Amino acid sequence: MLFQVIVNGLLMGGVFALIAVGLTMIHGVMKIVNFAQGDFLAMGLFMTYGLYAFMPEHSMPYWLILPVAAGMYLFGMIVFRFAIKRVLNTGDSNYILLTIGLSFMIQNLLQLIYGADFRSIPVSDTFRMGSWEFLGAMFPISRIVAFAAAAIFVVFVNWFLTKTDIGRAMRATAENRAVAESLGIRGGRVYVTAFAIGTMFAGISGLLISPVQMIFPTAGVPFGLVAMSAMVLGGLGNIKGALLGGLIIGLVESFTSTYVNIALAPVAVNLVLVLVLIFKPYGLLGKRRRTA
Amino acid sequence: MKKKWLISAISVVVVLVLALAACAPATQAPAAPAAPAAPAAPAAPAVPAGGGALEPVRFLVFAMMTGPNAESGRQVQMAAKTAEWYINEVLGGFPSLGGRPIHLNVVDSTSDAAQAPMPFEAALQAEDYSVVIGNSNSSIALTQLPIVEAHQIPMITGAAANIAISQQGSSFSFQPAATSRAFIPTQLDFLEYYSGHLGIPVKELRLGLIFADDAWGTDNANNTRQQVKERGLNLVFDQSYNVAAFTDATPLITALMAADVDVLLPSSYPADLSLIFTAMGALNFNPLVVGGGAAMTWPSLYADLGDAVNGLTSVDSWVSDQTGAREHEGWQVMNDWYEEQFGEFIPGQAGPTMFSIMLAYSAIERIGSDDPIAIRDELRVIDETTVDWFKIPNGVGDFDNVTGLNTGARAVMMQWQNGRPTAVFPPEYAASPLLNPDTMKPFE
Amino acid sequence: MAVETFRKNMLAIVLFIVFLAAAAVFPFVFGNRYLNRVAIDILFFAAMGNAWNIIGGYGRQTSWASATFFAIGAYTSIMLFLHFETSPFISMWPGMVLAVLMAVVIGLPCFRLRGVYFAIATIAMATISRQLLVYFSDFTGGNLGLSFPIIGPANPLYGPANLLFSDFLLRPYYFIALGWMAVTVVIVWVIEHRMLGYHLRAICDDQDAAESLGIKSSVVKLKAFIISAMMLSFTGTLYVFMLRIVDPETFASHEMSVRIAIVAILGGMGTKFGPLVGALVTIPLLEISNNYLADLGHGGAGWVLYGLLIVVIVLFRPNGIVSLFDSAKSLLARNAGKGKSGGEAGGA
Repeated sequence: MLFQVIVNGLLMGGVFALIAVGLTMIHGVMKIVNFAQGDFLAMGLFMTYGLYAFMPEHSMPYWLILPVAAGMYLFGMIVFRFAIKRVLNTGDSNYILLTIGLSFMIQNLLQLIYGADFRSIPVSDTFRMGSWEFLGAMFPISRIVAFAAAAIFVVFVNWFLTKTDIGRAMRATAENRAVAESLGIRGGRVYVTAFAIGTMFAGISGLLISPVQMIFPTAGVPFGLVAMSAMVLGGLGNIKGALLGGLIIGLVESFTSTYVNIALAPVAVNLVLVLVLIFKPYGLLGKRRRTA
Repeated sequence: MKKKWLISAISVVVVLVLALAACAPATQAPAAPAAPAAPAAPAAPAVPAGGGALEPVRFLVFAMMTGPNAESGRQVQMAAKTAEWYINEVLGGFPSLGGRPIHLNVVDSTSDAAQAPMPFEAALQAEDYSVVIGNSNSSIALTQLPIVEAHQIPMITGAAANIAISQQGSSFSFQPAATSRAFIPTQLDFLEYYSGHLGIPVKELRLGLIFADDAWGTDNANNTRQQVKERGLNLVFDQSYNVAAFTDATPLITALMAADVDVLLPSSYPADLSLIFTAMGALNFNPLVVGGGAAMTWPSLYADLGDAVNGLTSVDSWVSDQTGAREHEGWQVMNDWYEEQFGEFIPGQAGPTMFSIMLAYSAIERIGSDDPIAIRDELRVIDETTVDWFKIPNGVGDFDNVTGLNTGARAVMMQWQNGRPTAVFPPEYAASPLLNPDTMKPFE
Repeated sequence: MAVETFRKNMLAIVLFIVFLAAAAVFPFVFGNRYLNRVAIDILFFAAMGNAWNIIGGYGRQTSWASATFFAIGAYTSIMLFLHFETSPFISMWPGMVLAVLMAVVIGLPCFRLRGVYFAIATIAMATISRQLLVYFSDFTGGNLGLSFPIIGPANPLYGPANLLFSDFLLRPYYFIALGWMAVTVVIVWVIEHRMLGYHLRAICDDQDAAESLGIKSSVVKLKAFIISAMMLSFTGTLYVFMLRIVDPETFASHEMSVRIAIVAILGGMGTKFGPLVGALVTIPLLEISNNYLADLGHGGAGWVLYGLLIVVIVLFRPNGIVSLFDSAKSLLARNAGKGKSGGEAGGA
């Protein structure tokens, strides 16, 4: 059973990691915590739902990854252009308020348009309930796919940040914006790309969990909170940290739910978070910065 | 310079006006202005000169239309539409009031008990209502109690399961359907019946209880524990999960498997059940499932699981084909209309809403008055011998004179067969035989 | 010192007194139970916003654990009342003591953290506290919560001693809320102009610099947090005697913490009247939109507008709604000054 518990934790943790990595992209570059990240995931879910209508029944939603990713990327760019851009570097509370306001708007627009009914996409049974057995543990297929996709995206992001010009520009801007700009890095393009990627990741996470997750306006809320916890746990502005944070939270939830009591799972996660922060105030892999 | 000053000034004015503007809407309500019916006098019907407008009798239907519980609110809304159609088109409104029509105003309570008093008070301020129907959520219903006490309007909650509603000394609340306290004995009686058919002594079954951590789930769980103890059953797993944080059921199922659970007793909502059932499928865990109500009986379960839903059982206060409903002609008319309009069976929140409305309707018809206090007095007096709509809920239909609780209400067991829930136990309420979930054929 | 501050804030004081006078008359003018109920919520949330502001606005430590203290006050009072018929005037004190303890428990680990780390840590502690409320279900009723029985005038427990009134227009509760809100403004005012306020501002601007001057930032923050917690707890006691029910979902949820914080942030962080203005704008807006737009689509339009308002205010008035008044004031002053000095082209 131990192996199964670990598997459960890692598979879910992978998805958490993906959302957290998206969040970290945004925070690392812009110093903004996106409180609406969970709602972007919900948008991804609804987008998947809407587009799935064009797919044959009993197939899988993963073909839709391109349109969903593109759609969310575009959405991220729009949100950035009209809202986020104006609160950059204007202090601590503005982005909080802005993203919370966005969160309210998105949740309730989804409610307004779709109603609060629980919907699901009719995927094939393989993806709904199928699983592979390996070394004595069952690996639900939908969760393996989600984990694999998440892993691919995280690797991609890592490559992107280290090997591409714009990625390096992002890291430079995250490190020290003033210096980066003085070196000729145009902040604007860096910011919008980072935000759009972060948004896109949230949307993709929605698509990845759609085979098992019911779709309704507030579906993203728990994921948003977990993503923020994961990001903080791992250390702000740190992709590897977000990955680590997501996996750790997945494991803590799994271990607590199975070995102790599922009612205590949220408590355990939060307890771990607080304990880590007591000993490492900047997260597991985070660095101290001179901020208020 | 000038422009900025102007903008600032206008903004200030707008802010102040917004704040003061809250004054306006309630007294100039979007609907017709408050009917000036004096409390004691029966409403004088306008002379119906072929198309002359008769003042409608208003019921306030208070339901959760937004938030996590909005599916139940939607069911309530459909129920209200059905009842309104039936009363106005088939029964011709209220004959005892000169044919006045009924108007059922469905108001969103949100799913939050701290918010709910606001729309409730807003609605009660804007119109004169004779009766309040709902809310199905116990926490919200409890906040309504002092408000209906102040406004002196009777409130009938068809589906709120917490018995505290009838214990707070409210003289204006009525619960016609079974509460959790009645659910669990039926659920466990059924378990014995079921296991008997499967050839396993019920006391040898390893029971697993999982429940949503809200008031309803917790109420069910408390009652389950108590009953299990009394009956000497074997409860090996007992955990609640946080509804808001439930993102993955595989750890829970892993734990259930480790505890070797034979029978799963879930008290859960649609999203939770979706995660639970898919995880069970993935981990190859196939216990007997005897649900605690709510989402186990809602159309969304079929929408989610498809034909895999057949064979699942659950307790509830209502199944669309229970004896009381089947044998009531008027109800069957409403039933057919509902199914035609909405394309689905009457689920657990809609049924009780509909018969609550009909109970209030009957009370009004009997006294020929729309005065809330007179209606409340009449509700206390009626029972299933005087009002045959009261035969629809299972058990003996009668409101306690003091608490308004229908102590004779009983729960019923349903099983999903052919994509619909059907009543299977106890025999006096059943509509179909219980099927063996493995073969989908009646037990021999 | 006091005279100076009075003169500087003359306009604000005058406006506030005018507001209080108008508010005192309000419940009698319209005689509308619903409006009074909305007004009560506005006043209570303004009070809680003021409490939040002490740590969140002046201290710039955005705490998302406000609901925990609110719930502590509410639970303590209702439990003592239901079991021992304790008057809220008495039970508010144990409530505040518990809130202080909780503030220390939450504050000690959290205040060593900065920025986002602090914010998330407060969310984490709030979640844990909420679970504790649920866990001790024998006392707290767990997820079922607790509720008052219906207590009418005939009941011996009825009356001002227990803050149990059944006035149809809810006037007693209105005045309680109004009085408490005014008191919170005064408390914030006092803090703003005393050492605590100065220290908080210093820490805000640059914590490291402040520490180098000998200001112990964690002690200062903790003090502010404790005061804030006591005020929130007190509000919880008052609120529960009006609402007559308590449960973890309603009183101790993350959503409640957000509502409290938004009132202050939107109105104006670190200002005396910000939360009041924030409550005056957001709550009626929500009510109006819910009343008129409830039938739009599948519902929820009011909340969309609420979110939109927040977004608009952040984009155009990042210092909160109150900054509108400041702009107006400074513009007026500038124009007056211009007039005095003989006028210039380009003026009004």
